[in-house]
Amino acid sequence: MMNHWKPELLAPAKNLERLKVAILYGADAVYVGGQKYGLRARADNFTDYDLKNGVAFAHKYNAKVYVTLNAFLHDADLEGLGDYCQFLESIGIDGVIVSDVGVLRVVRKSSNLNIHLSTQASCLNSSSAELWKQFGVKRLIVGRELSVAETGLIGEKSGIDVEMFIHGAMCMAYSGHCTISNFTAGRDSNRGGCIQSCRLPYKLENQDSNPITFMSSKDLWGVHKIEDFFKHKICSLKIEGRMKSSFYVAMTCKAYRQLIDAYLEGTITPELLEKIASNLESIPHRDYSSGSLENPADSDSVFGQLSGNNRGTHEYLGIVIDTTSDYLALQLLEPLSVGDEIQIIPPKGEIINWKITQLLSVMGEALDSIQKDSVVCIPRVDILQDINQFTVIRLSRQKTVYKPELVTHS
Amino acid sequence: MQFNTFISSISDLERCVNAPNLQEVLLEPLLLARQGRLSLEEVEFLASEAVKRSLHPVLVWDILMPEQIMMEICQKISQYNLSKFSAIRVCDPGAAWWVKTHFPQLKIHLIVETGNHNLEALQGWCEVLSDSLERLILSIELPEKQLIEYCQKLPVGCEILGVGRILLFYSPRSLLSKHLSVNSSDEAIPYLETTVASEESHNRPFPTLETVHGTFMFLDKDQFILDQLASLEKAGLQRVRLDLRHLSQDGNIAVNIDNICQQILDNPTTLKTQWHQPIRAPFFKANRTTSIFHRMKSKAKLAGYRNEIGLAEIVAVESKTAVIFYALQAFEFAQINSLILPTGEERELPEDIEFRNLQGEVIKKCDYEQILITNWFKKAMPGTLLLGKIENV
Repeated sequence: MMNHWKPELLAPAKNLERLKVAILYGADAVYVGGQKYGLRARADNFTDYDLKNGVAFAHKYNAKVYVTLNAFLHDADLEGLGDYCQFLESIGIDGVIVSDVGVLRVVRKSSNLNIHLSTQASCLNSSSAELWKQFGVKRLIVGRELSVAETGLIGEKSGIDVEMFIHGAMCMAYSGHCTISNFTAGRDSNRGGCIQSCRLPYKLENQDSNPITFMSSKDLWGVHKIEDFFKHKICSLKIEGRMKSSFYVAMTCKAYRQLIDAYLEGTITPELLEKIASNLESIPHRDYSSGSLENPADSDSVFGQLSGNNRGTHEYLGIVIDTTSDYLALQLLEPLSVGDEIQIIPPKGEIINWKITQLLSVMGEALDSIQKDSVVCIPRVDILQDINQFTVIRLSRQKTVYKPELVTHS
Repeated sequence: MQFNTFISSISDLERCVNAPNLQEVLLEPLLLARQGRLSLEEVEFLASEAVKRSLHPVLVWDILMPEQIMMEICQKISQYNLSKFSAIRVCDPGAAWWVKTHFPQLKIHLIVETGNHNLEALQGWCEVLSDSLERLILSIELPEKQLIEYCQKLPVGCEILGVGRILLFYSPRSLLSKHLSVNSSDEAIPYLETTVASEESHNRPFPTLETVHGTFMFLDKDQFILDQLASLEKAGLQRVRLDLRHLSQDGNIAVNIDNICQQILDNPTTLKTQWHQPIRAPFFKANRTTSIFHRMKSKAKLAGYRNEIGLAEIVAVESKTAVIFYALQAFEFAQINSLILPTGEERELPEDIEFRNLQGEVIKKCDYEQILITNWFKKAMPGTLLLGKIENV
């Protein structure tokens, strides 16, 4: 009998738009932050109203929603947490992500919410897992210092579900053990105020060389480790990036959805891996590394780039914000002109290469070009009939001279 | 007030014997401690010598351990005579649980200096470790008021750093060795130290250390609260840690500990003014590390309107031509009350305003997530919300 077990694909969602993009592009679950108690103070974060809408949308697609309560709180910060947990439970939140033992105890006292232990708690071994079991934790999001094999062993020994990061930015320090922001900028990194001091260039004493980013980590990708995740029964594969764009969310969800499904079907080929890797290269990222997924991360995992952390091969153009039978309305992040080449990335299926032959304003006027942060319409021709709301679009880096013919992706 | 300190030699021990109010010494084996340099045999020897001198030796096991490393370490120390130690000091929750379940008679000092800044959390550790837990090592990010409360309320003893380096960053990766030349005599026990400075931190030189267990960055100033211990002592603080490791000389890491302890009792103010390093205690009086957060969120002002009352949001403005809304819910235009700008300013909608769909048709109601277009009006800007009437909610 065929084994249909597969890990959950878990994606970040800064707001409702990212939540919908994530689920439409293949995430089985999303994690979001509310207005308080989380580690992303600068994110817009979900209001209670947004959470209700988000849960309704997710559950319609059989996807789950986890809320991050992962800050390390001081006494006064705990105020209202119990009531908030009861609210989360009432709207059907599928779990909460917690780092702080105090938060964990309040969650347990006030609700029956499933508790996932955040990577911030740095659970790194099976003995630690046993201790967290005593606290009622149902899932461990292990530290990024662990290999897939070690994580599998922890899950096996403890009997608790284990989750790993599969993609995204990484801290150089053990999670939860960096307070540079606290003492140098007066901003608590463990309550959402991290200033990313690890990314800065530093001059080492008595070194004649220029400042170096010796503490900046490359980004993680697990695109070549999918077999290991299945083999060691890692129950959830988490994509980092609650501050990131819909483009990032869409491309990572699409890539890893394809990978998980292809592995299960036995259809992974070198060509498929190359295509998926190429799409992951197109989003903003630092150089990629497999981190500690196989062996402990070494000096090769340091991102030595002094300036510019965007190695993405394509610019994010925008997102389909509305549709009619005749037009797609695009919300643009970059300017667009007739003659530009764009790539429309549907949640499933091949990317569509398209050359802009016509642009219309929302008032129906023909345009030669439009500035960024605008809304513009393009004709919904046959090949674009299946393109729906929340489809992301990227620009090719190179713009070509206007030609009226259609270019399709082979 | 009772003190403790780190030791690594007989000379250190002798000084501790002569130090008033100091009866506990901390021993750091290379295998288990972040900055440890001693072999297990050396630690065992010093522990025995400490006991002979009526001192209580505490084994420091403060590294964090991935599974493989922990398995190897536990195998090694299972064969070790841990009964020589009055307690084991741990940071990894896995280490704490392992000691509790394998050596239940041993006392645990749990380092909760990061991520444990509320009473509920500390009580949680007390409950889960129960009789095995003897002491909590509290964070220096806690203000005095909280420390006093915790000393009074917690069922175990508490300890705080009285003087010493402030750890900012602990990474398992070896971040310095690629950039620094290694002294051949130190190759057996890699231990690199330098300072690192960034323009963003005004080129302050942060001491940074690489050991076999990873890389550690410290603040350029020492924590110092030795002149402010009276209230904590009254509240029952069990121990004050005097960390002199960064002032080591010739392999001794408790240099001058006897004089320092005496000065704390006699004249801590003079000790403060004469301290070898610049000092600070940034959070001892208050911790305001979230005070800036309310200014960081661009949409925070309107978060309270993103509920049943928020009907639509302006997503784009074509100057002098059109304003484009995105419906946040299905609604009828008769429900509209006003606009609220991202600045929080509330405005009336222009009287002659008409809403059109993408086909250009004038409409009186819309669906959720539909684009709505109106003529341009003054002060229209992205992020502005269209608000409904409260009685309709």
